[in-house]
Amino acid sequence: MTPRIERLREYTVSKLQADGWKEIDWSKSPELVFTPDDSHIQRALRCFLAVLKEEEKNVRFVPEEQIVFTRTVKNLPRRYTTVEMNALRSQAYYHELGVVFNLTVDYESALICGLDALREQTVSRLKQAVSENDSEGIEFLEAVIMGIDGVCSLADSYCSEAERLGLSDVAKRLKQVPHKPARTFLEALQMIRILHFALWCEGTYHNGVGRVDQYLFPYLQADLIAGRIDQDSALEYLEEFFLSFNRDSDLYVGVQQGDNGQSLMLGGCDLQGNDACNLLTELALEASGELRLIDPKINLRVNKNTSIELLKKATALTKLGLGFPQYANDDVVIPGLLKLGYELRDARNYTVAACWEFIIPGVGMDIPNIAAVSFPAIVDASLRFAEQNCCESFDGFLDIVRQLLFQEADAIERRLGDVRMLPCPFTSALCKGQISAARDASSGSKYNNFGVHGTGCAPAVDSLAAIKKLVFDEKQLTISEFIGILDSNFKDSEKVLATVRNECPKMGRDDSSADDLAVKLLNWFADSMEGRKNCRGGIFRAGTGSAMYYVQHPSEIPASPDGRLQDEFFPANYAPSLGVQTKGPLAVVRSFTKPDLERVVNGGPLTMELHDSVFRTSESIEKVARMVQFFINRGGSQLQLNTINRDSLLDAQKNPANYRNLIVRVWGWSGYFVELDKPYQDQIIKRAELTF
Amino acid sequence: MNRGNESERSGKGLVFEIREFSLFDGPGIRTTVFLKGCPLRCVWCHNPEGIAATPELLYSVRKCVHCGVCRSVCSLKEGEVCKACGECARSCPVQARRLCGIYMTPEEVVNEALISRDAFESSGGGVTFSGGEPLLQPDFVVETAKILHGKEIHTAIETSGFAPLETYRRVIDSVDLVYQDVKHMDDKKHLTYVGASNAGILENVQWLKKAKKPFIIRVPLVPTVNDSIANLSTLADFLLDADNMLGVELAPYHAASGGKYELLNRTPPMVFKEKQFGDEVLSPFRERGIRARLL
Repeated sequence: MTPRIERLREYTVSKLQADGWKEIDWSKSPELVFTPDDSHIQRALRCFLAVLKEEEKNVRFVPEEQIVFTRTVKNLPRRYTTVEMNALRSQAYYHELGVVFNLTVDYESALICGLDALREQTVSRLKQAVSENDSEGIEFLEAVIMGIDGVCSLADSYCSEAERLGLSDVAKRLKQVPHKPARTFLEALQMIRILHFALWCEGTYHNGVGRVDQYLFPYLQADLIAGRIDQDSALEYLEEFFLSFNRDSDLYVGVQQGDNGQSLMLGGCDLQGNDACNLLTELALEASGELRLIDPKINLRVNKNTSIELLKKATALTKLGLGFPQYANDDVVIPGLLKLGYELRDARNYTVAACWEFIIPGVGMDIPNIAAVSFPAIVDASLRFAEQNCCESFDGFLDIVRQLLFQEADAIERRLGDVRMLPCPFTSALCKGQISAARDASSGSKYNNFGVHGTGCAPAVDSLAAIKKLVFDEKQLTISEFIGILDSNFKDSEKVLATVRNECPKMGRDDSSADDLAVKLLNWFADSMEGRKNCRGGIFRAGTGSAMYYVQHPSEIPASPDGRLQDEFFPANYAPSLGVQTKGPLAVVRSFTKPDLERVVNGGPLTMELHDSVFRTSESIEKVARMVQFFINRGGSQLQLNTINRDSLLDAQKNPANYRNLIVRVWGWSGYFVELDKPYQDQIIKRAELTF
Repeated sequence: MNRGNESERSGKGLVFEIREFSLFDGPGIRTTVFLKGCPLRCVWCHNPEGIAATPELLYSVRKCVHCGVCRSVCSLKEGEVCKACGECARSCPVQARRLCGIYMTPEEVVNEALISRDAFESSGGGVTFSGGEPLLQPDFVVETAKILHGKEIHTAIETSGFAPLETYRRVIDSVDLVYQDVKHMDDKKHLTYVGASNAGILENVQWLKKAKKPFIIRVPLVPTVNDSIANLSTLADFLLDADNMLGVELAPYHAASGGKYELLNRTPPMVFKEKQFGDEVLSPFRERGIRARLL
């Protein structure tokens, strides 16, 4: 890290930028008082322009920075009153905040053409819309033009202020971008910064930046060849770029602080399928490791041929405990996406949404986290159904599980019969095909799929294994007795609790009597989603992610047959049940790669915790890298390795002031441990009890 | 002890853990077989559950919820000694009790280890025998290693070297790589802190130096006990002229490893103050052209 980056980093982690944040009283802005006649687009546009205008008043530079744009507006204006929003929600389903979110726009094209050219395209498309009397198109395209003008105007203000302050390099770059195409690596980084900043201003959230090492590499390469920069300065600029993601992130709160979806993807293949790792792939791993901050969230695409050298570099990052990188295996993800109907070149271009959901940059308007199935709840309901309907065999019981999974899928489809999204015209302009279609991305893009998480696979599998053994094989308990025990939270049933915890097969021990049930369960989950069309012209995708449901779902059922007590959590994502002693990471990998993961490709990583002492020697980096390779070769789809130390976590709960910088992986993102709510802290401590 | 010997004669080994993906026990991805029973009594021992050569029960006070189920299933009569049948461990709902040590045939151990064969092959790994002291169960180690070799699996051993030379040679000959401990060069100190003379061990190491077998010397670096430059220099001199020695590894003492004593209802014989070691402890070796590093 250069001294300049160290100072910029210090500025950011000390939150000095927060001095400039302004809480705006938007009720004083007459243009933001909406009438029922104001359309969704009008509201979106006027709010967006108001934020940009406010930002123009507060142009702000961080000392020594080269990549500018710092957010000052703390609160975005509301497009709808609570009453209006409730009225909308009573007519249709609006997911989360209701607006366009959880996507990666087409930065690559924006860099190549610049906003002026994009504006020209929009103007000419507008003429066509006018001639066709397409009023919806006219409104959208006009909003795009005004949005582009607003963003450019803010950039111009930054440019003149930079000139006034004598920041000539910054001013020079702002004369080029975002108006015109980026020509250099630094211009490209500045342009991405501006566009990404603008997305947040428009209200779009969980904004990923996609495959940065792919679309930024041509600029770096040209600079290197022309001798404009060297590798060291490339790393320095990349680090400054990464720092910019942390500057405003306190304003981008999701379920928890840090859950902001600023993910990026490295590595993988090009659109022809060739290995596309390059110098930037490695520089990005290095930059993230040097900065040690929670943003951007680093993902790395790998495959059977990924070199052990790259995996070692990635493991060196794992060692730092940021929960980066999260691996995605091309060998499984690409075929999985193809099976779901994705075009080959799109499948090869996949990235992740906020956490781990696989999406295609620029053409994906999926809602990849729209619903979640709680597998343990299905098992619980199956027990109760079986009690009423006399179930004689375990196969019969599994039939019930399967049926209830399908019923749950039906219910999800019914519940999502009318899903709408609120527009974001500027964001849409940066998505492929929206200008030529003259429609906002909220009305649909190339891919409009719904992703359904599957929570608690392992506790459900362990529960099924316990039911099989105790109820059907050994007939120690009747279904009614078992239900009674669960409802009483195993009170006065310590022997049964001991039996289910100690004597029953568990997923994660490479024991086929448990793992075969996982194969079945995930296949049925995929079956239950397969062939369903959603209301937005897309399909349903099954996945193995949990998001925050590992805390919410357990509270919806009593204790479960695997010996999980009522107030205990599910594991995060796709992982062994908490408290289950496995044989080791290889056994876990073996167990969790037995199911056909191509079929549950909405995403959701196998999550494993490593103790920080694992990395004591240089060889151990290679060994962990070999384990990642083992995972890839076994057909795993996604892997998250977290390096933690339980003692530090416990101490951090007691003395948070000493652990301000302690970073942990939560579910699909990394955050500062001391900023998490206690249940999330506790779940991570529980995970840390059985590190490898 | 008797039961252990009988089982040894019947070809079984007393194993207290088979750990896959062990990171510090040799090249590549390895599975380590921990054999129970040790003739030495190092005061800093951090595998105390490996000392007794019989199965025993571990009990975690911290986890115990005092539900009494273990007592209700125990068949022990007044005045009888626990036979470590393990019934209480199986019946414990919170896994506060664990049976430590089971008798396994070489084939059973090999089968368990072979599960990771694909990982061994892709990473250049294999199987390591550790303990306890594997030399206490020589026939079992030799037989298991023989089967593994037949399957082209690399084998290593971690040993104190405390055994008659004939036993030592037989076991060392059966494996591919040796991690040989040397705890102290001074016989008196060795006797005090380890509970036995180092004479036989050093005699075995002398033999090892001339054998063709690649080996690494390991020193548990315990502050105030064996971390003096004088002791390390004596060791370095002793290790000169061994072409088959790959290097020396110094493993600093960690007090936290004492946590396992609680499970045995014992306290660590001695607790030392942890120390941050630097290059100074490596120089006696490096000055003599011996590769050395801290773990």
